[in-house]
Amino acid sequence: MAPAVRPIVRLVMPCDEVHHDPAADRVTLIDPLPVAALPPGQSFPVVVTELWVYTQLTEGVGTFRLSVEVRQVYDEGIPPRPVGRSETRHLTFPGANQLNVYDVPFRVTDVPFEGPGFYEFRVLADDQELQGQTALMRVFDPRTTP
Amino acid sequence: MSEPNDRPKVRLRRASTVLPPVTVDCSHWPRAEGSRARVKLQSAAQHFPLPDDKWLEIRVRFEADAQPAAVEAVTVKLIEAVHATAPELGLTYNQSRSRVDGEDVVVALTPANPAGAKERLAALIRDIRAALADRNGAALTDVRLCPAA
Repeated sequence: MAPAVRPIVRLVMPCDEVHHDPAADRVTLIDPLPVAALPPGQSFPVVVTELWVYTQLTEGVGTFRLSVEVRQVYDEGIPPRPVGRSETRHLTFPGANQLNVYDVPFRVTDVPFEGPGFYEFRVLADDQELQGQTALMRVFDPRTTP
Repeated sequence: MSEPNDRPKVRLRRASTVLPPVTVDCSHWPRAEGSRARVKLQSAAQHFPLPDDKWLEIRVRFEADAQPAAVEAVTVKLIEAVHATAPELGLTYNQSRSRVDGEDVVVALTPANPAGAKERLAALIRDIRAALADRNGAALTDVRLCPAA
């Protein structure tokens, strides 16, 4: 049995929606959200009913428990505040095929956002952060922040 | 060995493996007490505006009972044909100039790089016409660079 090799995160991007058309085999990211605003008339704290996190993983060998973690990050010197971590999903990367890339979309619902600022999305395998990309999303209230 | 200009022009296709989406319910994640609104976030990214002083108009006439799905399929087909023929123009769909004009559907495309568009027009018309050849109920009526010289 081949030794396990942890995958790396080639890409992680929060977005409004990820659409996969199996017939045409096309993937569409709708409204990537590196920066996002509350809808007019709303203020923090809020629950975001739905957003998607699009990830691409590669170079792994073996079976891992994947999850997504969200945390609010601050200026240097202030530790990040964990927001939450998803349940895990098992994913098996076959051996001898480490060049293959897996697109793993996460549909995330009812996410609490306590205030404006930067939120980081990280992919974990077996509860450990993977090497590679993380995503930062800035969320703000357009009534108080231009 | 072939010269660079003789090589086939292609568009690459994604070859990664798409897994079914994983739904993550965060309703049990800790949160401060109190009521809060349930919202959808809105993208606040700034988009680079494309210059809108030159654009390509493709006019297609459909049969009166054409289904919306057929119109969409034809539109996608002709945009793919344009990209395959002249990728260097960087043509993107121009929503504000695309319209219905009488019996024609007008698909407007704005070039990121308009240099050479005029010289490529004949090839574009040829390949758009070929792309629509097997599309019963859709006929190309005009392709033009706008504004007219």
